[in-house]
Amino acid sequence: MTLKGLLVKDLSVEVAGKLILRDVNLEVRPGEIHAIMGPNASGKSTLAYTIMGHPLYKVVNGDIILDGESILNLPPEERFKRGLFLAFQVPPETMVKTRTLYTYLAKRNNISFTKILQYIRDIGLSEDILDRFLNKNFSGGEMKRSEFIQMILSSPRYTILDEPDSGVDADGILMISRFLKQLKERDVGVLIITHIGRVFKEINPDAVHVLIGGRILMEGGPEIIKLIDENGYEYLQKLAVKR
Amino acid sequence: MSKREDTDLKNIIGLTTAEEILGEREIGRDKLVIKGRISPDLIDEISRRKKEPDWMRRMRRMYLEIFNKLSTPQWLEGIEELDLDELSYYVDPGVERRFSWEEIPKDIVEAYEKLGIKKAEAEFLLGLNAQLDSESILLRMKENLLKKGVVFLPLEEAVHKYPDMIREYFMKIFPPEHKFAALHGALWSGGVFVYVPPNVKIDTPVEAFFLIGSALEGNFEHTLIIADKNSSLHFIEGCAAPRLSRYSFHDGMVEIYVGENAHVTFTTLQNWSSQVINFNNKRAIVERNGHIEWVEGSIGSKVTYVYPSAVLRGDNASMESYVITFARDGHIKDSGSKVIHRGRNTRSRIVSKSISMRGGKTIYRGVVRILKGAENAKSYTSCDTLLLDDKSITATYPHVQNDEPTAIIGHEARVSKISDQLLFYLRSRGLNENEALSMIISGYISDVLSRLPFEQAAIIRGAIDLEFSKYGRVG
Ligand SMILES: Nc1ncnc2c1ncn2[C@@H]1O[C@H](COP(=O)(O)OP(=O)(O)OP(=O)(O)O)[C@@H](O)[C@H]1O
Ligand SMILES: [Mg+2]
Repeated sequence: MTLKGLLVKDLSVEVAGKLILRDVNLEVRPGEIHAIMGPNASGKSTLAYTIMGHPLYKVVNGDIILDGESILNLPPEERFKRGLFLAFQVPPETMVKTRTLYTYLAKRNNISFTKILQYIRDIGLSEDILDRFLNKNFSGGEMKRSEFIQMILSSPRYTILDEPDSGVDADGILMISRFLKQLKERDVGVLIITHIGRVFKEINPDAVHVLIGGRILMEGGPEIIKLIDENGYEYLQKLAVKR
Repeated sequence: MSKREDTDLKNIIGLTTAEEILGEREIGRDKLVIKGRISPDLIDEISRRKKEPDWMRRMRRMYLEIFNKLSTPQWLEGIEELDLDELSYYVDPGVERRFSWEEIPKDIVEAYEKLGIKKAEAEFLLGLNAQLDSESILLRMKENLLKKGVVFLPLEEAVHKYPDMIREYFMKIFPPEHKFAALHGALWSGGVFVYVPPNVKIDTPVEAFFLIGSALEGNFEHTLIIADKNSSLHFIEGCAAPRLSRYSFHDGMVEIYVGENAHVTFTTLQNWSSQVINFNNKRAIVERNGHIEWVEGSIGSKVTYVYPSAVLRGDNASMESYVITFARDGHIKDSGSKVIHRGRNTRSRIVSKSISMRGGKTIYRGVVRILKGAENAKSYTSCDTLLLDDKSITATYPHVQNDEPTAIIGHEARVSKISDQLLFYLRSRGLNENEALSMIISGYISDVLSRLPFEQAAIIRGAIDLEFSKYGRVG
């Protein structure tokens, strides 16, 4: 029997002719929460996009394995169907009515419209976003919440959350923290990209990976978050070199 | 409306990619054609075949003279292959007009069945005039239409039955200002005449459906609608053709007289095959408190020139015009709307949404003219284009001329592109590329569709869905 999990093996990724990720390795098992931290432009979103199959991000080496099978040659929609979800750091403005995409996602999992309305209320959004174009003129917080709703409606087995907490108010961050706990309880594997440790108020990550300059420079437990918070990435970089 | 009705309606009238549905087979056989150089003799021959009164023959001759005098508009493009001397100007489909489907040759009925017209007629329409090539071959009318005193006839017959009305109104709104409008007047054949008596409201649509059966045809149907005081009418016009070995030329005309307090909605779903060169002249005159609503769904054809227009003559007269055009694979859609405000408090609203893909070209060409004395006239135009790739082209040429200081005129134009990021976003939510495009386009035209009556929205939505189930984005 193959081991369940989302595996990233020796992954190197090029975008626009530039090598962004080098030899990245990760193993996210069902029910595990992995945090990716790193300075701006270190390649975190690139990693997220590549796992989801963005056509502009070219895998030049390595593999991505979902529950024992390589998904490298699958288009994004197939990866989604196999249980992967990506909540975007900055979702693009669309010409699609929010209602249309929400109901499309809900239908796959037999989720009723009443249930959609309930999720919308629970997450602190107003129902009128349904009749607006998705992400168009959404506030930062609305966008993040909307991404969460789509994740819930998709009920993924592995989810990548690209900075779900940035630009979100205190209540929102608490909510995300509770979500993480629920995802773990439901055995969902979580890869969360974040700059702040506060989302882990309710539950600690199982592992923290620090991505700097496209490489994973350091890995460990929640203690790394504190280290970064107090000393910054530069200190960490020196530390890593010393070791 | 419930979901079930929604899908039913799609099945009934979602005709789209008519070209795919009809394939390459010509429709009808043993046709009788009149071709050759366009001359007074040729005109006389057409008139003779139709056993027309002399006034109509003379009228045709007059338009021929105007045609010969006028030059081809400079700005036309995409009509290089059009050689007027090689066309058949009159194509008798070889079938007498009947009142029931059973009396029509099976292979012809089959085409209408495939396109869903037969079913639509049975379940949804109050009347249907089906035309093949140059002549009407079937006229169906529900009792309700007759009881209310509505006249719904092929124009040829109306010329005999209602000569005074036809003589008064025929091409009255079309001083043939360009060559092809004049040519139409000389060669017209087929089309329908509708008269709605005062106070009669027809809420269920009547339809005229036009089929071009073979290549190198000239098709000049003429639709004349008179909606008397306080009446209402919803007219649907559909057109289709099989894939043709060479081009065909369509040069149709629609003229509508909207009486006081009358309300006419005219919906076109143009689905010609991609060999058809399509000129469409559409114009209405609207009297006091009258309203014309144009809905133009321009899906098919190689080249299309169409500008639903209105002269808002009476006070408080209004026009709404919704133009949705779709150009792909080097096809050209030159469209827009024109309006002349003459009465006081007249209002017009023009909403154009065009979509270009795989090297398609869409052009918005509009005219808003406000005459002195059209006090407090209001006109608003919005034209949006969606480009699906870098090979596709669009342009906007609005013409506005205002002589009335109290008028208010608004104009907005936007061009949008579908970014790789947007496509990736939707694909990451489980939609394949075609589904994503279809969802984007539905959203893009949703503000137009949500304003339309349910049936019209369903027709257009169905057409676009089907188009995108077949064609994806390339490159
Ligand atoms: N499509 C692209 N074209 C060109 N360069 C890109 C593209 N995508 C990413 N890059 C570059 O790759 C590098 C990594 O970007 P990425 O978005 O992965 O960073 P990040 O770690 O997510 O940063 P942040 O914390 O600011 O979100 C950056 O230098 C960025 O400019
Ligand atoms: Mg990022």
